[in-house]
Amino acid sequence: MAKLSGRLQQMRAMREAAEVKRTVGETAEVEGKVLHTQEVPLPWPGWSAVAPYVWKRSLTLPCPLETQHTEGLLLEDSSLLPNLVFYDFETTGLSGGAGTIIFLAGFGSIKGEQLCVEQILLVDYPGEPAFIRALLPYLSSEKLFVSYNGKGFDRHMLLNRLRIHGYHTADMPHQLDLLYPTRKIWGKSLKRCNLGRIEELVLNIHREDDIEGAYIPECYQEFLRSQDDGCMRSVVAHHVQDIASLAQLLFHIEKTSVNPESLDDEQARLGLGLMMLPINEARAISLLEAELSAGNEAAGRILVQYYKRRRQLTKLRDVLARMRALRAGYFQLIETAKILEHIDKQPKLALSLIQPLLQQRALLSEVHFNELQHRLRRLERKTSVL
Amino acid sequence: MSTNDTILEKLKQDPQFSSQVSRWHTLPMREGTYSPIPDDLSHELQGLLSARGITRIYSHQLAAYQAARRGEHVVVVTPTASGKTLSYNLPVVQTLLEHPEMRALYMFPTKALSQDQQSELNEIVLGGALPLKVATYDGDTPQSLRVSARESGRIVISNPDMLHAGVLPNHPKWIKFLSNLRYIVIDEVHTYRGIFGSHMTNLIRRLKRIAEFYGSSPQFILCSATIGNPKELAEQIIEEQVTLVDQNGAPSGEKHVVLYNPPLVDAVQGIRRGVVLEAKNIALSLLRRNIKTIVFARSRLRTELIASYIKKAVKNMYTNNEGLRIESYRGGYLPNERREIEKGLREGRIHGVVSTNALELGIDIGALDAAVLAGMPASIASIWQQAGRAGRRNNVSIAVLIASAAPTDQFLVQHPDYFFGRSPESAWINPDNLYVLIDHLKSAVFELPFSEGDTFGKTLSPEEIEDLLAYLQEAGTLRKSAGRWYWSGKGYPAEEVSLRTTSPRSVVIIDTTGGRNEVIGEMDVPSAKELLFPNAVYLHRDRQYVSLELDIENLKCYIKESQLNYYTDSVVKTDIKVLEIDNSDAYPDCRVLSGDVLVRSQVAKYKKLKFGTHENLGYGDIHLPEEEIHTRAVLMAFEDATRAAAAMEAVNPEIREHVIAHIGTLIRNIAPVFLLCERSDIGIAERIKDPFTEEPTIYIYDTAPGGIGLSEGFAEKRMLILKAASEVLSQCACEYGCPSCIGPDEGKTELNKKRAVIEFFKTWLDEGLTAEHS
Ligand SMILES: [Zn+2]
Repeated sequence: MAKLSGRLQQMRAMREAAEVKRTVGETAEVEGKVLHTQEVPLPWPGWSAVAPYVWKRSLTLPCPLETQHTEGLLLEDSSLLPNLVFYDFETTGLSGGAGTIIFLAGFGSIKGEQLCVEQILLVDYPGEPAFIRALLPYLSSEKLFVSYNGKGFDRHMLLNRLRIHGYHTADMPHQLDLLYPTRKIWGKSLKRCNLGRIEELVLNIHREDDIEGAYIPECYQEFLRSQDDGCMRSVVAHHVQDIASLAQLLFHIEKTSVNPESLDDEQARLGLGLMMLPINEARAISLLEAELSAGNEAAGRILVQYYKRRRQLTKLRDVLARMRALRAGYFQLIETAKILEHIDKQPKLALSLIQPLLQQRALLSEVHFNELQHRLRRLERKTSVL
Repeated sequence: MSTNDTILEKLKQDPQFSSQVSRWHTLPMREGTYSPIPDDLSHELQGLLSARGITRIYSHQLAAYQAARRGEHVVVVTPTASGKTLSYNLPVVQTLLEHPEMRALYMFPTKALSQDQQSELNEIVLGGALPLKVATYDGDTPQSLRVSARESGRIVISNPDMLHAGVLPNHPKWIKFLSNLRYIVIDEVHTYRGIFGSHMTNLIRRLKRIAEFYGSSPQFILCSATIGNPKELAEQIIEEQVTLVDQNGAPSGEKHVVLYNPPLVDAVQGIRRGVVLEAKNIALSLLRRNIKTIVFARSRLRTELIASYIKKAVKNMYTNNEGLRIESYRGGYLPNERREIEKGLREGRIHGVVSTNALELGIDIGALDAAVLAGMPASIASIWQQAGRAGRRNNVSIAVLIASAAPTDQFLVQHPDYFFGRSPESAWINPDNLYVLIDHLKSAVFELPFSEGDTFGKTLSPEEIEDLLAYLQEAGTLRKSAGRWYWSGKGYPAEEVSLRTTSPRSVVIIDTTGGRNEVIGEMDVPSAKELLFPNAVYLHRDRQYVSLELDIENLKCYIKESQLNYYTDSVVKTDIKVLEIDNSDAYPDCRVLSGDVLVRSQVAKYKKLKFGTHENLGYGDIHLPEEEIHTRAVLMAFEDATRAAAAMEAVNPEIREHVIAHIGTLIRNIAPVFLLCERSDIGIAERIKDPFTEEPTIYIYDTAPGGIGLSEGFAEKRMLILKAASEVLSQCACEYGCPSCIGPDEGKTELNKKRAVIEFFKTWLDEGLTAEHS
């Protein structure tokens, strides 16, 4: 394989030639030699080195008691507060895989009127084993880990790194991922639900001089290469805000669940109702009932499905009646006709109820129209037999 | 048995047929060599075998079993119908039954083969309700099944592409599987040759590295078709000592291999009857005698044509098509269509099939009695593999090899001794091809950091590895810190590297007849341009369609059914455009330039050919963007005052163009051995007056987009290759050129071109190597 180094030389020369071409005019400082491992700089003020290449700091942020709402939606009661861990990771890449590592981990917990945030920073790759070891004390299975998209990303990253370093991953903390409820509530009205948008439009948090998440991996590489920490300092600050926002978002959702009128967007109220339905039925139903009374037909549709599933006929009839009072729409007429036909055994009434729909033909989709014709034909058959 | 005998006897005595046969070669029947079922096999497994009627196994199956159980890596050479799958399933299943935590990985070169394999394994495993979960993990595996495949699959069936981009970069998810990985089965190992094979070795290097990290050291069982160097290839792929099992113990009936040249229709011009009609006639006469027949055609179009002619000939509603069912088979059909045809063949419901080389590989279609080759495939190994599709254990079989008008085919049919005397080609790979190596090294660092002194494969020293890592570090892809290299690039290196040179993009074919909107198949983009251009007649199994629109951007082609009396055949023109020359050296023998080129192929015209007679009904124009490959090339320009120019001067002007073309063919034959690649990994073009150099010029280029170092390798080894070429040429026993040297001579001139090429080389290389090796 004597040839190999010769070929490599050629490739090097070709790449350098291409680079020189690209940087004409600039002072092309092409240092052929490898940059050797630099000294790791001393920790920043407020940080301490807990192991080689691993820094840590703790800080406290105000978290007044009156903002800590627990209303029994995502959190059963306030006794859970001490178990909450708001967490977030920054990683060297966004697509995962074995070559992507966590370089910054943050854990926030509530102590009285304060949110205590601990950040652990890996300042170069060789410290990764120590960095992972430093995370272990936080990973108790008694904790409830609160995240934004943690189920989709951070959790997998953590499992990957733990496995690579030979740790068992059986007893991991429970996860509460706020992305799902957030998407359910605000997804329709905000379209994209990244944390930045939620902060701006829901939590009324406005970051200044913030770094965009997509640049963070590059920023870290730049920090490793040049030891210029300007950019990294903003990553660390950004990361603290991420964790603080998690706490705010959780309490905001809790509060909103008993205060739906604070949502000025009809779609968001509906979304909240849908989101709550499987976890707090009573609250969801009263919200949807109120929405229907306010003239929101979509809330009626959700209620119809709900009462049908529960076989609550009286409620079902009531909801349908209120919907018909709003408008003689396809859905409410057909659903009512089903009751008339199958339960009340009144095909004639059913027929006369839905016949006028034929005049709305232009408004109906093809599927609905076909379904309507099919139903009409059947009802006609039944009535003629009678 | 006897029925076939008499049929063959009749065929032999048929003067029309036998007068066109240049050699009727009979391979005698061979008795099987059997061994008892190994007694260390578990009761469950023994019971399962006997339930399938297996009371003894072939000697080679036992040899493979014993070697594998001794812990050796094994390669089994497996002709068709030799019970290949049992060779590896026995040791693997037995070991997994003994050790409930152990896992196995089965790798097949294509998805189609792995699906086939899963049904086979399920039969063994589930048929006997063995407690082994078999799972397929490939691009088609739904997300919902992937977790259970990783977690509980005892045997996972996959392919190299999935291992490369899916499994290895995400190895922490596979920790349970990888830390218990006991066996790796690599089937069809002969397909991993050239650049593809070089990728494969590096992929195995990565796999072994990760397995070692998790504490396992898997054992390999490989299967290969008959090639020149199965053991060597297997050892190069896995970089371990391998035990060769090549004494086939399966019985086989008497085999007749017939070389057949279609009759002349114009003796003056030497024009012979076309291979399509000839294949149809021969296949028909076999099928009508109730002989199960497979026809291999050289293109998709010919596959469809031959199949439709045969079907048309037997079409008869009163006799239910003479009781015969014939199907065509090729890539691009829907997977369920393909499965259905394969099953029909296995179960004997389909009597004849016309296929491209898609059925040459190990897809299980049961045993057939006759193979008809409509034209010779490109390699001797392929010819034998296609011919080998016919042949049952106890039955006489026949393979009719029909020569096309191509010079190589004509040479083979006219020189039977040459054909029967040639052994199957060897497979060459070069795992240390710098481009391939660097791509995989990136992925390997992504998967696990490298420490100083770490190795990667067995042919490179740690210093060489360090040199490569330093190179990647300079490029900013890796970071070195405290003696280790870490991945510091963006993204996911495996995503940027495809193991195959063929385009991964394919066009979906949509039937819009009568308002339908139904996908009936798919086709890779370059082929779609040749076969699905607007107005093209597209043949798909029993139906004829016409292409309405080919939307390359959105990868869709809209077609509708048609009833035309012609089919279409496009004409592809290829040319090379020099983009940039970055190196140019004047040597005494010629000028050598290297640089970037654009290889463009364009389908600009098509012919309308009448069904049945193939009479040309006219031409049409095609307006489609060119297919372009930006790649690397080396040019040898026969510039004034070089020896090559002098050599060309001495050639009779009438045959100069032929001579340079023959030199190109000779280089194509010789260079792969030195570059350790496949013939199709390099492209060669010869121009008697090149528009760029304005001299007679030979181009050698990489067919992989972007180049993969072969043209650079050619420039480096140029003198060695040319000298070897000259030697092969002067020692070749042929008179006028043959497929082993400059290619058969197709011209009609009295001038002996082989002599002319020999003379050319004498002058060209006259000064020897010493003068210019500095
Ligand atoms: Zn020859």
